[in-house]
Amino acid sequence: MSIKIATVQIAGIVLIVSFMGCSQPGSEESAPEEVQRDVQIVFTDVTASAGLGDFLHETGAFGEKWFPETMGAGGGFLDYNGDEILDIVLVSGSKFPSQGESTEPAIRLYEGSGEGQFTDVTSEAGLESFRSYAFGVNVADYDNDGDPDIFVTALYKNLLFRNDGGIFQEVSQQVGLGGHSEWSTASVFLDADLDGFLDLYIGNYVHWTPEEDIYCTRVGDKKSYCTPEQYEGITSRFYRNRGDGTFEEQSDGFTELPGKTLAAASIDFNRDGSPDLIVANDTQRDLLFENQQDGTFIEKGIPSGIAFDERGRARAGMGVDVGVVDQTGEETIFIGHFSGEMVGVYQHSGNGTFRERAAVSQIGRSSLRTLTFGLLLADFDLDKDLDLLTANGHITDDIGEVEEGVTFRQRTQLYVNMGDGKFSEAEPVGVLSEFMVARGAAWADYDRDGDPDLLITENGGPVHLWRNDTPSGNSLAVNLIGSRSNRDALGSRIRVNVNGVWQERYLRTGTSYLSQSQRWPLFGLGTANFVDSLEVWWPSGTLSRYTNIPSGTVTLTEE
Amino acid sequence: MATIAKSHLTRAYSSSNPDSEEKRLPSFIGTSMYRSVYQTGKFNLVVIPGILFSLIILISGCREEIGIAEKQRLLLPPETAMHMVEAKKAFDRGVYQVALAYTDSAEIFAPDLADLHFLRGKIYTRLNRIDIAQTAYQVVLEIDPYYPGARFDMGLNSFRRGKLRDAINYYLEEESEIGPTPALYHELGRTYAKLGVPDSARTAYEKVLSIDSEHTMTYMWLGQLLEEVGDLEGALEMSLIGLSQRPDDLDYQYIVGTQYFRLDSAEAALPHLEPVAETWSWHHGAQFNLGQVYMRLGREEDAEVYFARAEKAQQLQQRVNEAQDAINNDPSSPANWINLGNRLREAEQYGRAIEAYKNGLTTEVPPGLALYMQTNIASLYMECGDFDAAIRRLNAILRLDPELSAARLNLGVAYVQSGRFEEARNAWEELLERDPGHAVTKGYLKQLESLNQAEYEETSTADCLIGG
Repeated sequence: MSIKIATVQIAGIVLIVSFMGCSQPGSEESAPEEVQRDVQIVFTDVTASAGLGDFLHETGAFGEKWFPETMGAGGGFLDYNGDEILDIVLVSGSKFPSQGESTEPAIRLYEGSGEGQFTDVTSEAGLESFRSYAFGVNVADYDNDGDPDIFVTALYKNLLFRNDGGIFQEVSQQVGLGGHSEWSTASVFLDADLDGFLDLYIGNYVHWTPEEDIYCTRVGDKKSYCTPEQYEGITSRFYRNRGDGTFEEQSDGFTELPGKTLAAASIDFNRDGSPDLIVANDTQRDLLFENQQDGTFIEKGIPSGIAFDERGRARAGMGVDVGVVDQTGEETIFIGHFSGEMVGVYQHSGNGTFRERAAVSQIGRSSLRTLTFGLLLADFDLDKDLDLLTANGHITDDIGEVEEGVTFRQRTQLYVNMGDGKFSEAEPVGVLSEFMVARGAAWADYDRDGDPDLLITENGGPVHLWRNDTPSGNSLAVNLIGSRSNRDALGSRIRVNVNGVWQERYLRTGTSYLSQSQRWPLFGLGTANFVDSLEVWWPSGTLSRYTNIPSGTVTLTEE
Repeated sequence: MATIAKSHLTRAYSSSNPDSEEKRLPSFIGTSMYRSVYQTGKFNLVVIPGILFSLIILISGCREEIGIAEKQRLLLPPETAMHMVEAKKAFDRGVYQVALAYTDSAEIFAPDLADLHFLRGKIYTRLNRIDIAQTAYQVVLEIDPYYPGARFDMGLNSFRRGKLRDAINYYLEEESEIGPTPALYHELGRTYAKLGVPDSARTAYEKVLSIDSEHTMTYMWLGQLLEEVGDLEGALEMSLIGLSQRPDDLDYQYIVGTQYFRLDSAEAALPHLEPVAETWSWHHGAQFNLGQVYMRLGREEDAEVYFARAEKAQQLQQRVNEAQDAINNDPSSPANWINLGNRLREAEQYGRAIEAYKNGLTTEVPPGLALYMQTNIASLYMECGDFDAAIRRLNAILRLDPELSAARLNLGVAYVQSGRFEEARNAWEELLERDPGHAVTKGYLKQLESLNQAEYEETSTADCLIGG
């Protein structure tokens, strides 16, 4: 698909606008009246034809049922070579050190063709030689040099792959991130002190070594995988970006709090412009770090109401995402949980407290039988509201013997937003009827047709690329490039108005489970061809306003 | 006097003694003890129709037609009947090992007695030995396919083990073979709800209420179901009906309080949550929700108090859950039961702690651990204000080990709390005879001289309900 580039001047700001094929030819104006569309969301599994069919995640399992084998790994999207075509990164997994060296690199990189195919360029990109029992992947331009870097969390040493023009160098040690060998999971890049450089939060899980592996059983004497209660949690770490390409650990305020973290995301729930942090913990209370507008944090999970479920119990938190899902304009946090626990749905009440809405949103009950790892929000049917996807799969292959109705392999669930923050689960047809041991999940419009597609990873299994083939509406992708702000513009808030309906996105990393979605947001426009108004609050404090933006892709540079 | 009790209890908690459970209850240990029970001749073998009648009522309820089990009861040898009555009494008291011993004794004379196997099923269920319990119920049905309650209990056990479809099948069989009851439909509703079939659950609950419009618990569970499916107004309506029937029930107060809160009525939630949080410090849900209510009301300092309590309670509950998981994996381990008892005790869930220690005593306990558990049970009875039970148990402990100072000190406290001052004095004086330098006892005796009996009419607010 050809891309037309146009440069336009709006309100004194230079815009680079990329129009893509989503606009209906000849229809230059928004439809005056819109009817809520009622379309069935359709995904097509294109994994094999896209060139990802040979990928297989390695757990390292060799019969001992060691705890890390259950966790799986993530994957995601990035444009590593700046060709405006999305590429894919997948965490490979590994053997345990005692079982010899894995033949798999820590991550595999696949270059997108723009036509829907991907080619393995792991070796060409300099990533072939790195081995690691890795879990999570996070992409951001931490050195503001214009290309995305890759941070990988792992069972032992984490890895930072600095992107130097499409060739990666592993620099964790030299930039100050290599000091600890511990089980890390989630990570979030955010500009906590708003100095224009991305800082790094790293969530850690539990203290585990092969020598200290605990024997657990669910059925008779047969060893089962343990749950984290039996292990000691490890607290999180926080690294300040010095602005010279190196980091300084500043974990005060994080280290005395519960660990066992599996997911985290940046959020600005109080809308003060400073990014806060939501952290989902496994069998420990969840955490909400409120930024004191100076890059330091105070943890307010309990008083805010997100620490526990509505019965005051800590749950097994896995994936997390945040978004405005109704017209209240307030953000809602979604957290995936263990089977027997509802997906957590916490909506901000506007005064620093959150209201639990899992049942009211109609998500709670149908999420009780699944173990949700990957969890993300995207407007899959482009009807101007965020839908919820949960990627599910149990950790225990014999779970059906002890918990009826719960299976090891589980379906992915898609909850369609009805427009008012209440959701309806999509019929389990097509790929949604497939059972898998899902872990990571990420979305991106990899085929540039204007709707969000899906990448789902399995534990010890293949990856799945699901192309969104829903009858098309229109959309607008908004790509921000910071100058005074960090170059990725992480922490920006974008609002669009289409025929009186407001939508909002916050640019963040983290989210879902160990995975990386497309960095720039995608707004569904329904049948409209134009966004009536668009507002951007940059991390630097600048507010930019635009009007009458046509559907497609718009790239906005900071004033 | 409360000061005496507290300080004394602290001492007693850490006491231990090598004497064994076998010493205390020599006739009731192991599978061969039933002969001893029978051979002692301590039971009056005269048939007492009233007792038999009670036995029938207690165990299986009444039916209009005479079934196999009823016929068995009519022909039951008197000594067997006595064993069964004693077994049931022991079961009701939570002395499960004794109850099992009596069922073993009864089995000598009536091995095919359906009631006997039914009671065993109940006992093993309490002991968390679900496999054995299910086998016992199966034997019941082989003897009398129409035995009321056997399938129902098997359904309950299947539910406990997460075998929800099995549970439903048992309930439906009970319904078709024996007939419907509110309890049956109630459990059917709970099972459907857990299985994720809310419509069937709701239908089952509504059947309960059509039979018994005052089935309080069903209103509460129906309310919970409606809450889970997002109908908060409907949930509150049901819960308020339930609460109106049992206004003093703290569980119901809690449910109503949380539902008001979730409906954004913090003011209405407050009076329901406050008494729960104040009475049950272990109740993390009440602490957390009350804290949130205060936050909404702008009372942040009050909120912080309850949030701190919630976090502590949550941590304690987590330890309880871990201990319970260990028991689910291995219920035969006394250490697992002791651990659960200790964790429950930390969480101030005294009733459940007592139950855990009692269950632990039915396993193969090393002698020292048995006395440790007995001492803990006695202490917990005192925490619960059940001083008669504490006195009985402490006297039993002291028969095993008269030198156990902590137990004797506690015995005196229990007597004082029961208003039995003279016996308290005797207990403490005997302690001083054995240990003349026991300063605490001297102090207690001095305080005893100036006591006014009215001071001891205190009511425990501790949570002493089994499963509470």
